[in-house]
Amino acid sequence: MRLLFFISLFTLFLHAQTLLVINSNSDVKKYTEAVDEFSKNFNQPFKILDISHMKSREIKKYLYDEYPDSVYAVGAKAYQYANEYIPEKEIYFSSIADWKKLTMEGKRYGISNELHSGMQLTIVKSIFNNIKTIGVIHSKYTQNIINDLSQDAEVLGIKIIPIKIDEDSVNTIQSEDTVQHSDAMLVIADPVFLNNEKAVENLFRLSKEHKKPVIAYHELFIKYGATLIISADNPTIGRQMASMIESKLNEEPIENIQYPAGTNIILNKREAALIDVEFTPDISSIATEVIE
Amino acid sequence: MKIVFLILLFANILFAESVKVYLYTPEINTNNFKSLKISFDAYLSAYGNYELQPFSDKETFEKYLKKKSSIAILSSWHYREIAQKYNLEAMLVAKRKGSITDRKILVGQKNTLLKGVVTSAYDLEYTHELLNAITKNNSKELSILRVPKEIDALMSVGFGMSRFALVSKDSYTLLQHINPVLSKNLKIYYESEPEYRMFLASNEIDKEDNRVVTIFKNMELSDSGKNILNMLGIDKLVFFNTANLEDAGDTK
Repeated sequence: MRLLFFISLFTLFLHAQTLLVINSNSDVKKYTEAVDEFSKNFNQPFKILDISHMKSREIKKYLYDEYPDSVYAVGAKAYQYANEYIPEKEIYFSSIADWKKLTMEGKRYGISNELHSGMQLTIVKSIFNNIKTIGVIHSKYTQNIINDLSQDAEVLGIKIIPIKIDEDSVNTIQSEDTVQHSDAMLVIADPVFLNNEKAVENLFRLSKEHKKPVIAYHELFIKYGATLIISADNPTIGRQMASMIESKLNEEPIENIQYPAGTNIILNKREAALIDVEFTPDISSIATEVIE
Repeated sequence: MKIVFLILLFANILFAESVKVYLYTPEINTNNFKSLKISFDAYLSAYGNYELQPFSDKETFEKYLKKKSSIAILSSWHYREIAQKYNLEAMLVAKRKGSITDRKILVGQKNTLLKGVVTSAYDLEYTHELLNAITKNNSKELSILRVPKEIDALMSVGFGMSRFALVSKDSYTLLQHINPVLSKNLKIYYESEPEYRMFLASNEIDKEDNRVVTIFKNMELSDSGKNILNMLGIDKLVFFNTANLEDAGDTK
């Protein structure tokens, strides 16, 4: 009887999955928020490794020594190391801007850093009921975002007005006409546009002149005068990942790549008052923070 | 003599303990506490030495309730659970769109079995209790993912991050209005009995009762008060008494 017990215990031990959480940099708030909330909600043992001050060879040695069954990589740096040294393992990832640029072969699962465009637009519509047209500056690198936005906007009765730019035209963007004829402007993470601070400042200046709200994806844009910030909620990403890995361990079907389930919404009420834009009286049930 | 009096008065003001209004309800957006507190304190300061103390977790909230003279804003579910223990009596009840009650619903994608992830903006304990109650203990195969707001819970179902959402019927109505196409693919699987919205309750021995109740009752009469009520997601606070039961305004 005892022998049977020990054999069962040994078998269980053999089958216990080991999980390593790799934090690209524990000084980065969005990474740590996701890791902290993951830790509180994942109900199985795991280890955490912060690689911010580790050399490549140290990371390599650690991964070879530990050789975990699964890795949760938080941030691009963590993903790249796991993908390079233990590519045969299950790798889960989150908090990576534009994950589609990563090498994705093998068992890869993750939560994108960007919200579903339909989710973004539903929030916009719920806050600014009267918005019918939204202008967006983009390059060829973000054409897929424009396509998604246009498709999801249509069902909400919103029209996306794109302004396509490239490395040459970014200095002379003719956006005044679009700003004038749009109900709002949306800033997306376009590398060509964002690399030119003058172009960004110009968009905010024109929007203010024409009293149009600017909607952006990061609170950094508040200093430029953004009226609304819509981004993914990092703690929810941590909880969502815990739920995702547990579902996988229980052999339940999961979507390999998911959109974030929670939003972080900041309404700049001060800016809204300055440009005289109306917003919903139900703002408390939608916004995470209201800047008075 | 006058100087002594003024010094004593100043010392009294300086060291007088403010009357705390404790707030915890899983039904409001917890991240909004900063602006809620600023607005509340600014409003209450016109009436005396009052201060709002919001809590994001139930245990800490209850720990503070142990102190004498408690004034609390809490959900009717939580009130039912702790009223006797902390000697609380509901004085005011929240009203929204003409109703002092709301229903909780379990919304899901159409033709789905009762298993998988359910998104909820409430804390885990409340979510478990609600799920068990409305599904009649049929929720064993559901796992909970907490999200910041009810609209997130609903959109997660709509855009495929979860199979079900546990929300108030008010929020579902809001989504139907904003995005009818998305909500067309959703279905209400279970619905709770009407529950009272949040209560303002006080400890029976608190002598400040009537004054505080009047301050909160009159919130709907000023712009700053209305702003706070908006932040709480309600239109006004009305007296809670048996007459309310006849005027419950069931939202079903």
